Amino acid sequence: MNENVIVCEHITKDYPLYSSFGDKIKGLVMKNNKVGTFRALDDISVTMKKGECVGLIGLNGSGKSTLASIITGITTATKGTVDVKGEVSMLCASSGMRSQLSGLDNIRFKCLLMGYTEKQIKEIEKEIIDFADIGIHINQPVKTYSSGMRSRLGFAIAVHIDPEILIIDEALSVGDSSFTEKCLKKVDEFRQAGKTIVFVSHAVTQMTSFCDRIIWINQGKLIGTGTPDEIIKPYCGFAREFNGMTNEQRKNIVPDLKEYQKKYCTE
Amino acid sequence: MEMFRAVGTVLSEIWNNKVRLFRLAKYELKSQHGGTFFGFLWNFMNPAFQILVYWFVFAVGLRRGNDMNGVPYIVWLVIGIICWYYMNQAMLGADMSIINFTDVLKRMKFPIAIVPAKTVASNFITHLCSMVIVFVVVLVSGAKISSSVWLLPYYIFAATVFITAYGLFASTINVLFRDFHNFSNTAMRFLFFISPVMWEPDGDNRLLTVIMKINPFAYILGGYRDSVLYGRDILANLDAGIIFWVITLVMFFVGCVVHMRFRHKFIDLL
Repeated sequence: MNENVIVCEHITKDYPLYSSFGDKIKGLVMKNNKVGTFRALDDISVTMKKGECVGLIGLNGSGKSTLASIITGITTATKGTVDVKGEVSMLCASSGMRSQLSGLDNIRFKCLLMGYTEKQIKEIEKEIIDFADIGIHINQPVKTYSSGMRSRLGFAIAVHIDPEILIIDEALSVGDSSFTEKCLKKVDEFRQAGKTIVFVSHAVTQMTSFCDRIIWINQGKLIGTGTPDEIIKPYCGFAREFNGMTNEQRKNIVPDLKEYQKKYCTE
Repeated sequence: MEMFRAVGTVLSEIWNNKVRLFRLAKYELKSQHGGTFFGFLWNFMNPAFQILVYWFVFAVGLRRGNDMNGVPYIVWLVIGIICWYYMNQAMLGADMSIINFTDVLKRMKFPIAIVPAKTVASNFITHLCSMVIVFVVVLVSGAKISSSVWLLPYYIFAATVFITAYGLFASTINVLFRDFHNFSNTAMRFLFFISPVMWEPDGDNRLLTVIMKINPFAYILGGYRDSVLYGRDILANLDAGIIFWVITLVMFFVGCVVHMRFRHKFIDLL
């Protein structure tokens, strides 16, 4: 259908594990210095098309967020190439909040961080305030907010930026159900507008209803991609089995998509 | 080649974000004074109280009445203290700036070079407020403001460039080697005593005279006093000025190279 906007080829990300301080200095200064590494992503190749809504799914520590940061350009891959067409923005509800500042100041501050000019901020300010729906508290310092209000404000700010590619990292699991609904509606607007959306989450229900395609990652390896129907059930089955495993078993497991599909999709 | 590219990138990042920088600094100050009744006024009240303490100790308590070349000691001291305070606060703030900005840098693509610069900018705003108080003190004390006072902006500029160069270098080193902040903290305490903040060597000691010549802080402190009180121009201190700018530029170049070299590793190390 559409052109590819995100093309990741053979992405590998190693995090060095420095065992001593001297190690760290050596690792930083010398190139090709061999230190122990932790492989967060292992040879991942994925593509995403324009206007597509893709879900990234996986257990904790599987590398979803690392992949998301690499696509956003916050961190770089050790090996492999990332080609992104268009502006990417990661939607983060909690970062960049200053608890001493009022809600309104936080809106301005965060928009400023994202590179907005004074004029642009003035234009979207009111919309953000309405969306966050925290009423008279908007002029109170954020430190007095409840955690729900905080994340609602954060999400309201994040959702009003206007990137071509939007990455949502666990951001929708905040707030009560009515607010989540509002957020999903907003994300749907993005979708209607033809923007590419990457959902990073383990909230499977949202993914099922929302995504066109799911990418399943486990322990840094790509397990498979497919429609929600093809992936979600095997993933849930795997997650249940994983819960029951001993640590020894967990270490070496590499789930095979076909096998899990056979097991759980026919039920 | 790598060096010039690094310097170019850093300079253009700072230049392209100059407005944003000061607006970020504004919020930084606002958040510092958040929840206080006097708010922004603290930028004037802090130096005023600081000066009051020094005045009490040195003019009332110790009765140090001797003049510094025809200027009351307390006036001479006040300019030095406020100037030192600016450099000290800005340098120790800037060298932690990247670490303190982790929450943003981990989640957003952000021109990292402006992080230490925005910390310097917020200290710069505070410093300008302090200088207003200094001028009030000088006038009240009856000392005359010299005709060279128009050179003061040059010295403020020089101090700011020096601080920014240091901040760029130190904030990078601090990400890689966090102990650096503690070392620089100690070094600054030592430098306080070998810089002419509270006293000045009388010229008998050759070693101290040399230290004062190559010490960039001594150049700035001297410059503040020369322009506000003594009416000496830049040429009076040309050799120290050249040494100052060489040190500053070398530090800036090294800072840029180190910063660009390790920038892509920052996020994983923060």
